[in-house]
Amino acid sequence: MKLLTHNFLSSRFLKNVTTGYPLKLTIEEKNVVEAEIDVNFLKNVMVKIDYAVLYEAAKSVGEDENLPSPNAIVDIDSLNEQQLKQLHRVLVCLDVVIGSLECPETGRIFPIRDGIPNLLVNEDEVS
Amino acid sequence: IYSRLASYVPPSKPGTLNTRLCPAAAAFIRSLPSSSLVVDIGCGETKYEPSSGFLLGVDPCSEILEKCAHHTDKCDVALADALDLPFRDSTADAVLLVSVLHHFASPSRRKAVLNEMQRVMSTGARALIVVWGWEQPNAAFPSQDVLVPWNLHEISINGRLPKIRFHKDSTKEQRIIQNSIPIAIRSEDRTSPSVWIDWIVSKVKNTPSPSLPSAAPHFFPNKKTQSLLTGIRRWSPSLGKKLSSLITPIEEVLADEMSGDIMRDAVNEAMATIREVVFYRYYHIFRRGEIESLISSIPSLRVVSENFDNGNWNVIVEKINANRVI
Repeated sequence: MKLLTHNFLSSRFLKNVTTGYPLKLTIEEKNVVEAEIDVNFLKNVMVKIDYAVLYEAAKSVGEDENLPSPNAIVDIDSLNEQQLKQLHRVLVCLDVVIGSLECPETGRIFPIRDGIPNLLVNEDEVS
Repeated sequence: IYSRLASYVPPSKPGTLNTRLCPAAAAFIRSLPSSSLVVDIGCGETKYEPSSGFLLGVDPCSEILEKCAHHTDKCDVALADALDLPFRDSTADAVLLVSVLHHFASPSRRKAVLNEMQRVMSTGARALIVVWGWEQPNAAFPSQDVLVPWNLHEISINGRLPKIRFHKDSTKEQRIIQNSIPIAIRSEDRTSPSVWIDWIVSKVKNTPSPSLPSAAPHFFPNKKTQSLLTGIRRWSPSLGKKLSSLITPIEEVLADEMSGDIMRDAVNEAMATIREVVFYRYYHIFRRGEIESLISSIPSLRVVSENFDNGNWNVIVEKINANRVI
């Protein structure tokens, strides 16, 4: 599971959960797959993601160095090459192989195994 | 277990990956602006990864997700249900709902799938919906709600290819239609899946079929004997008992060599039975106009285009406002 995916995941389908976001990420094993940087894609995706959540997720794996500060609005055009590379790295190259996601409201744990988060729940858990 | 089945979109089992691309889906992906974020509901092995952008796939089957190439930088997958998409609201630039909606067994559940789909779409986002159509060019379905056999004996076991049972002159579509079992979903508010699954099981058992049908498409043997046996027990208690009686003495004697032989016999016996099993998948066959009226029941969705191609309805819809619809 990539941190880009984590940025969109929510447990709002659970019973009595209003936003279910962000899911608390715990990483036991990670992997990095190098890939070509696509600045246009970064631009489009930065509009959609919650950058503060991405920053926190990156920080939890010690990958926050060189990332733009979460306190200001991130303008892709003003970033230096190192910052762009790091942004690209945490969004799509970093893969969480083993870990877990925790619903911020109920504490429900969703395991991540073989890089795939399992968000299937029992019928009595949904609203 | 039964409660999951109604919403379970049965995947192609490992070893039978259907690599056939849906041309409408490929064209839809090509038509998207570059850098789009695409959500693929029932993604299977993620066949429609965009050349530029990112595809977020969800599927309820772990076996198929493990097969797919999610280790690229343009794709990621999660295990999730189409009725409970694990995403924030209004995030997707585009959605694929290809060969998914027809597996949901009541109008209210099909509507719930579309509602959940539009929730994750951003305003102006488009979705492609592909479903089976009633108006088949070569044959007629016996009912709008059918169980279609998914033939396990088409898998090669131990490298041996099974015999082809069908007459070579019949088309694939005709075979599918001839072998499907009509079922009647009697009332719209039959929302308890276990009730109708039980009913379907009884219906299927009463049809004159030489093979034993199963209502548990989730079950598939894997290398671990123990989980194979557990699966068999869940699926057929009597066969499970038979196998257990073979296992109990093993535990007592602890003769490793002998137990290996006995286990192999037991597994072979089980596999022989499995080979005869036909798994059934539920399909709802959409008549002309039916998918549009379902879409029009959701105020935030608008039909952009639709066409009928190779027995499928291909419909492109657009999300027209950001208000949440319950």
